Amino acid sequence: MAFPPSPRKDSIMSKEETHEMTNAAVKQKNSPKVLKETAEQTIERLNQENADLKAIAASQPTINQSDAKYMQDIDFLQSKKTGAGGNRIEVKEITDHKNIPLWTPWGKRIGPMHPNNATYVYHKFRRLGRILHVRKPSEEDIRAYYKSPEYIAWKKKHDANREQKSKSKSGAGLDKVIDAMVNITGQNRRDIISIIDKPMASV
Amino acid sequence: MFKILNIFLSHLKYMFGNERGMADTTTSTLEECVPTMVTNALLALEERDVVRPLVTLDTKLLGGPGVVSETPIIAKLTSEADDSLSSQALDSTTVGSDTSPSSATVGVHGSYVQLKEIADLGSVDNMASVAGQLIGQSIVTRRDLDLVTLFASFATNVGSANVDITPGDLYDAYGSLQSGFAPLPYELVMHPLNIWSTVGLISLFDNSSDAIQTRGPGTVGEEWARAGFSGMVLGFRLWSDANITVSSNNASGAAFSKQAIKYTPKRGLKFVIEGDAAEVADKIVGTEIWGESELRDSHGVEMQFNQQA
Repeated sequence: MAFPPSPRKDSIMSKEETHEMTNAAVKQKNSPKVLKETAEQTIERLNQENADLKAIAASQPTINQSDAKYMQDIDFLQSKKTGAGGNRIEVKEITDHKNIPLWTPWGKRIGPMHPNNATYVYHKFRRLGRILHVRKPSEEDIRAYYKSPEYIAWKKKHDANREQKSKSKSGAGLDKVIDAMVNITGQNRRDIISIIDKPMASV
Repeated sequence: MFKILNIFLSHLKYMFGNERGMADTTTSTLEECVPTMVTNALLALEERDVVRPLVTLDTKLLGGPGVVSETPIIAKLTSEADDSLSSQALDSTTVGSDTSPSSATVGVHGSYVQLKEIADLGSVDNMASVAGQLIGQSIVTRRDLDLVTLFASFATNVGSANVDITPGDLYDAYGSLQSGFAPLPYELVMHPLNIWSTVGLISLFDNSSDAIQTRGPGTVGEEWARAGFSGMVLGFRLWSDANITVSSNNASGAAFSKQAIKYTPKRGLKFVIEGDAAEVADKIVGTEIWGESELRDSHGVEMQFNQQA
C-alpha cells in the first residue's frame, strides 16, 4: 500500500489524520470541490445532521410524565410513615432549664450556662470592668467595637505580648546563629544542628 | 451402543448446556432467596466524663432539702506589724475575681427514648438495653459539657482568638495559678485539636528547632516522640476533652486547680420505663439532677487558642 502524500498546505486535516487514511480518501478530503461548499449546501448538511441527532434523541429513554408520577407516588407513600421507624432510636434530651450564653463585645461566646451561673458571671465581669452582652452582638456592633479606643489599646498590648511569647517558641536566636554558620561554612543545616548533640571529644 | 451414545450425549448436554442454552445459578438469580444478615449494632462514640473527677465535689444537697448550694469565701486577715492591734472582722466578701458566695443551682438533666414495640421486636439487638446505654451516654456527655462551658467564664485568659499556643502561655497560666495560691495538682484540659495539630501543644515538644529543647532518654520530648502524648506538660496534668466547643477554629480549654469549679449532685441516675399503649411503645426515661458553678475564679485560667495555622 502506498503511503499517503504529504498534506497540502491548505488541507484541513492534521498530519496524524492524513497518515491514517488511504490515498483515495486523502484525495477526496483535499478535493477543491469539498472545500468550496456553498452556503446552501452547508445549511442543508447542517439540517440533515440536526435531523439525525433528533432521531437519535427520540430513540433514547427519557423521563416522561408517567415516570414523574411514579416518583411522586412513591414519595407520597413513604411520607405516610410516622414515628421513628424500625431502624432508628431517637434520644431526646430533656432539662428543666435552658442554658444561656453570654457574649463579649467582640462576639466571643461564654457558656451556655445555667441562668443563675450566667447571672453570676455577668456580675463578676461587670465588677472587673468588662461589660458582657446577653444577646449576640451584630456584625456592625463588632466592627464598631474594633474601632473603639478600648479595643485599640488592648490590641496594642496584646500584640506586644504575643510577639514576646512567640519568641519563646520560635527559638529565633539559635536559628540566626545556625543560619550564620551555614553561610560561613557552607555545611548542611542538619549537620550543624547534629554537632550540637555530639560529645565534645568527637567534634 | 446406542445406549452408550445416549449416555455420552447426555453428559455433553450437562457440560455444554441444554438445547435452550447455558444458564448459571448465582446469587444474582436467587437474590430474593439470599438474606441480608444484620450484626449487632455499633453505637456512635462520644466523649465521656473528663472534667468531673478534676473539680470539687459538693455533696451538700445529696439526700437532703434545697436546690441551691452556696459556698461563702471568707477574706483573709492581715497580721499587724506592731503591738497596736485592731480587731478585724471575718468577712465573707468578694475578693478580686473570687465572688462570694459561689452559688450552684441544681437542675434536672435527662434523655428519653420512645421505643416502639415493633422496632424492639424486629431488631437483632435488645433495643431496650441499647436505648438505656444511649441515654446514659447522653447524660454523661451533658454533664461534661456543662462543666467545660464554664472554662470561658474565667476572668484570666492567657490566649485569645486566632493565636497559637506558646510555652510562654503555659508559664503565664502556671504563674497565675501560683499567684492565686491554687494548690497542686494543676490540670490542663484542652480540645484534642489544640493538642494534636500543627499549631497544637505537641508542636512545642517535637524537638524541632523551634520547640522546647527536651531531647534524650526519659525526657518529655522523648515521651511525646514515642507515645504522641505526655501525662504532664510544664507542671500541668494534661487531659483531652472533645466536648469543648470549637468556634471558628478556636476552642477554650482551661488550666485549673481543683477548687476552680464545684460540681453539686442532687440525685444520681434513675431510669423509669413507662408503657404507652396508644403509641404501642415504651417510654424509657433516664434523669439525673446536678448543678455546677465557678468556685474560685483565681484558681482557673482560660486557654483559648486556635487549631489551625
